[in-house]
Parts: sequence; C-alpha cells; structure tokens
Amino acid sequence: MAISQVPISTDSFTHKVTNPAWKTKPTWYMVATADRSINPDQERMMAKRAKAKTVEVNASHVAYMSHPKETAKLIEEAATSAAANH
Amino acid sequence: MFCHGIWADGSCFNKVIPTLQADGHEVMAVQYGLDSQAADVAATKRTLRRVSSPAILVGHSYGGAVTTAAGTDDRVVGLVYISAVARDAGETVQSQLDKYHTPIFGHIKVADGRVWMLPEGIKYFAGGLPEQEQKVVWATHFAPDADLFNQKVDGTAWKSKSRAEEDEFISKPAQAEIKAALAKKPNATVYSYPGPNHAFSRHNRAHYNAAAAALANGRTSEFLHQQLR
Repeated sequence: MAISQVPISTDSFTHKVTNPAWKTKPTWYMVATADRSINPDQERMMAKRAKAKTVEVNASHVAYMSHPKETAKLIEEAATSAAANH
Repeated sequence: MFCHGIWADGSCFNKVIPTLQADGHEVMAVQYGLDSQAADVAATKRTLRRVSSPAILVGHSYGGAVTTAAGTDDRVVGLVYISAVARDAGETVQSQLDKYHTPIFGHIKVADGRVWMLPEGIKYFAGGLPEQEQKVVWATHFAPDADLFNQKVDGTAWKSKSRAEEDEFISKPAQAEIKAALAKKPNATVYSYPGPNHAFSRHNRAHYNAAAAALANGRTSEFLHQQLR
C-alpha cells in the first residue's frame, strides 16, 4: 500500500492463514441477511463450507448490536455444546 | 472471547457481554490495534491466557479472520462467526468480493495510512440501528491500517506496494530484491518515488513529503476503488 511506508515486514507480505481453525473446531455462524458490508450470500458460503451451525437474522453488518439476545444465545449454544464435547 | 472487526474496538460487544456474564460465563473482548493481522492474532493469544480454558472465540467481520488463525490454539474448543470472514488457507477474499459487491467500500477515505469510514457510509455498516446509535458507531469507528485492510480483503499486501528510493531502512539491494520478487506477480504494480526517505507519507513525521504522499495516497485510493467496487 502506498500509505504504509513502514519497514516492510515479512508478515505483511506473507501472512496467510495456513491452518484455518474452522476446519478442526466446531463452528457456529450468524448470517446478517441485510448486511451491506459483507454480502449475506458470501457469509452463507463461508458458513456452509465451515459446516457451521448457522442462524440468520434480519440485521445489518453489526448484528450483535441490533440482535444482542440472538447473538448471546448462539454463543451460549456454542459454549454449552463445545464444552460438553471437549 | 470476542474479536472485533474494523471500525470497532472490543467495547462494541457491550450489548452481548452482560447477558453472557449474567449467565455465569467468563468474558473478555480482545483489544487490538488493527495494525497487522499477526499483531492482532498475537494479542488474541495473549488475552486467551487471561481467561480459563476451554474457551469459545467469537469474531465479527475482520475479527473472523483473526479467530480463524488464533482458533487453532488448544484452549479454543469452538468458534462463532458473526457476519465474519471465515477465510480458507491461502485464500484471497478479493476474488469473492469481486463476486459479492457491497456498497460500504464506496464510502471510505484512505488518509494518514488508515482507512476511515465516511459519515454517509454508516448506513451501509450499521443500518438498522436507531439513527442516534449509528452516529455513535461512526463517531467511535476505529480506522484500520490500510495494509491490514488490504490483507483483510485479499491477503495480498503486495498488490499495490510503493517504495521510497532513498529509504534509509531498506537498502538499494533490498529494494532491487523486492522489485524482482514482485515483477513475477501478475497482479502487482510497484510505484517508486525517487526522492523521499522512509515513511514519507506519515503526516507530521520527519520524512513527510506532501507531494509524494498525495501522489501515493491518490494511487492507493484509486487502487481500492478499482478493486473493491
């Protein structure tokens, strides 16, 4: 990037996820169906390939602000399920 | 444990945290600087050591890229993505963004090395919230480093890299090496600035060069518009 005249860190050139955690860990996903920052279809695609237990809410990108209860519920489901199977 | 996205910080989860705490969960929201993915992942792992194990990582937006990397930690037993980037190994999200357009990226401004959201962009980011609340989200938006932003969308920071030729930290041979390496990348354009020294686009810094910075920032802006629209 033109604006980043910092010493070129190897990381900023090469940092990639080599071992995505969702391939080995149980995964949950909340799709925001009215999201105009990340396309909801893209969210669905990523949720699907991660084999995530998925919920959809009619929300913008900040779903956790407009739908805090649903968000908390999904996290608690993850916590209960993952901890039980750990 | 929460990992925030760009234009936010750890306190953005304030509406969810009390519910989880009331139900007896130990909660922390990582505070990281949005300077580099590696630093943000490192901060996440540091914070993981402050909570008991096993832990669930929750990522929003770019925070999903962080949890995707940090989540391999043994202490993590599950991942929750909230409208988040669950990227695959070596993946460039750019190719997906090309297929999945979103309007937010037409309302950004790159300045002083950070990516800012323009006020009118807030409805594409936080629409659905009461207007007053949207204004607060905009007022507190935390601009990411433009490099991070680039990594976030496509993971290829080399796509548009410019360098100061008289850079005291990066020798001419090193510069030649970088140029040679990038020459093999079909999607890379290297811009060179003959006069300026290191960090010439950092406002109010010793080597700030207004003309070169304006040129470089303009090119970055153009690049982002081309790639993200």
